[in-house]
Amino acid sequence: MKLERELMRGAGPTAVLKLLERGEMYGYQLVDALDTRSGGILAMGQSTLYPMLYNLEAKGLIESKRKTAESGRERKYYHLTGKGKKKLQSDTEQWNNLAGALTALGVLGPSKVSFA
Amino acid sequence: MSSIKHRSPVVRSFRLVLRMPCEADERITAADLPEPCAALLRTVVKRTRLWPREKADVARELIDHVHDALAAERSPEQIVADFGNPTAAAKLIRRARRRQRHPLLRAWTAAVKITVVSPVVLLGLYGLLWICFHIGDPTITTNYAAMIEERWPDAGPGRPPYEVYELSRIKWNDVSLPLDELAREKLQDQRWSPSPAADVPHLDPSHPMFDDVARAFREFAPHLDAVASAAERPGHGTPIASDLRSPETYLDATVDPEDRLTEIVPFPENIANQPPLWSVLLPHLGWMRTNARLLAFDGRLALAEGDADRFVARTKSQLDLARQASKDGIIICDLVAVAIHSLACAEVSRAIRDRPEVLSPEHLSSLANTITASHHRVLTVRFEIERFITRDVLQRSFTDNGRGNGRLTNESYDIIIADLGFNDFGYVPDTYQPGTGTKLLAPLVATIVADRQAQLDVIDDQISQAEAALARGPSAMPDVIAANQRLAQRFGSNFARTRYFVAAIHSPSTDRILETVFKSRAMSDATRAALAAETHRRQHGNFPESLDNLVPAYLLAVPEDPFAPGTPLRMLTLGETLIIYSVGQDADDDQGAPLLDGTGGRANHSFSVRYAATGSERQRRRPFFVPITPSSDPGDGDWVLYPPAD
Repeated sequence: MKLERELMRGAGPTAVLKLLERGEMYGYQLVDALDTRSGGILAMGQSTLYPMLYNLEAKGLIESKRKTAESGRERKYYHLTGKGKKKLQSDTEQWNNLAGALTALGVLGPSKVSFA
Repeated sequence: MSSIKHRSPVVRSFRLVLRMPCEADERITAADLPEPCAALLRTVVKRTRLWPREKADVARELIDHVHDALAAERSPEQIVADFGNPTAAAKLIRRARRRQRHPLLRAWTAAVKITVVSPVVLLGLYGLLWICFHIGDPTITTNYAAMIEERWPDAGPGRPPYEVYELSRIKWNDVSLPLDELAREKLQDQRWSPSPAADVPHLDPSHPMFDDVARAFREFAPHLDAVASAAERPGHGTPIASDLRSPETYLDATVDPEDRLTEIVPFPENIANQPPLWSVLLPHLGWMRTNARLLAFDGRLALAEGDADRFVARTKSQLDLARQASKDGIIICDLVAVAIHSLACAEVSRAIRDRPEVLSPEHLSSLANTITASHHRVLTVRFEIERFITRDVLQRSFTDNGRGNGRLTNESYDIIIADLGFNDFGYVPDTYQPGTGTKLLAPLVATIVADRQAQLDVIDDQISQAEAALARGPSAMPDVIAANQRLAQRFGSNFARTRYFVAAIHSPSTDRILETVFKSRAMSDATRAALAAETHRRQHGNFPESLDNLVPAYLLAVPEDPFAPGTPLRMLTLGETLIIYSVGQDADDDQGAPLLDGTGGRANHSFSVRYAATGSERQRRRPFFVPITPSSDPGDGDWVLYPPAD
């Protein structure tokens, strides 16, 4: 099951910021991680991911640099900035509040998806 | 380890711009991707419409992504399917990458776009306006010149009176008189004056030159007699003139006067070839005014010589000239007629004051009857032909949508030039060609000029108000003055004046016109009352106690005071002196003591002072036309109508 576009627009950036919190990642890694670690719910193609990354970069929440990976190929790696960390913290708090409110209303119940 | 050199965002942005256009394609080709993936990337990158360097950067990242997917054993078809909508992707990427550009660079890009695009857009708009301005043609359907000429009374058989008037003027130029130049200029002056009697030079019999002047006028008498006969005819016979051609020998006394007459070029019969009617020339008006003054001066001489019959005859001839001019139906002609009538009345008032013994009761009666007849015929204005003139200008410069409305066309150059003050009369010579600046500006001016109907409405409303006020009499003056002030405010800005420029040029100063008419009626009333009072004195040995005592035996009714509507003109006697007066602009009875000006002479009285606009109604900016300037200081004193001042 995939999220509707509006929900993805709200959740996608937070998910990407959260993934980058653990360390720098390149595009395909992010696509793969979003797919596998959200049980496919937050899976997004290149057409969604890369514009999102460019937007986050334009806002100063992430930065990129080209590096040569262990495989010997050069890739563009993204990492969180200080501003991005604060934004992630704020978004996380808001999502928690939202989830609490939706749970209290009975909208949210036990999850049917297992996360890696 | 990173091989990237970190540079400032500005430098990076410029580097992005400067990359070669084909680098993105080359990268995709060099990446050796499966064809479906390569085609997808080419499509997406191309549709981003980013700068070449930015495209190359996007292509590089997408290639990496495809390589990673292939390494993860995804098939090319799966990669393409997972990618999503390429068009939407390109659009989102373009937006996001543009946001990444440095603000200075974005501002510079916008400035370049505005600099390049704006002139192109403006030029395009101007082109459209130019086309609109030049594709419409006026539809000239009505021959207003002919309609006016039809209304002018026929002069009858024989030499047209206007030629007699000009011939008299030419011959007057040839007369060698011992009058000083100032007096001669006064007799030839064609301008209207609020004090008509002051325009005629005074020559007392005790003056050393009197006999010479009297002899010269006796020799000139045949020409004045010819003028008197011509003035008795129904019309002056002048054609509606589009041009005048005076011979170079006009002032040469050695040339036969008959050969020096002005050639009047009538309006062409073909209405398409006619000039706008507002450039119509009315040469007879000046000739009639000069002859009216010559007749008035000869009347003074006659009175001084004790020749009452000649004085009465000359007065009647002046009033005949006024009647002829008033039948033209054009405001300026009506005003000339009013001025000539006022001149005759002033001369009669002066005669009663200075030489009453010369005039018999029969002469007094004859003068009263003549003035009364002229009073009712002449002392008014007609606006009908002003409506014609406005409509003629509009039909020659605006399109016609079949319902009488339309927009400005390129035939309006002459009118625009006239509005810019080509000369005092808005007359533009046939030989004039509008300059390049005027031609270029005209389509832009046309966009703000109000349509034909709107122009017409302004003038028609103003004329309708004036016609209603004329019927109401002096009590309407407060409304007229207030309406004119409101109009002056409404159209006070340069924009409004340009928007309604036809109306602005052609809008008559109705407050001034009506003031002239109402005041001239009062002066004429006072002369008639003075004639009646003098007749009463002859019969009863004294003046009546009030004007009421003259009704009905000597006057049909007591005339109304224009400055105090609903109340009569005042009369009193100081010894042997009769005084007839209006309360004047201060609306206060000062027992006949005149309002004085700074030189000790009698001051003029104005309705604009009597009904001075105040507060927001007062005109503050440049007026649409030129209304009477309001003043709030009425002074103290009456408007003395009889005896005359000089």
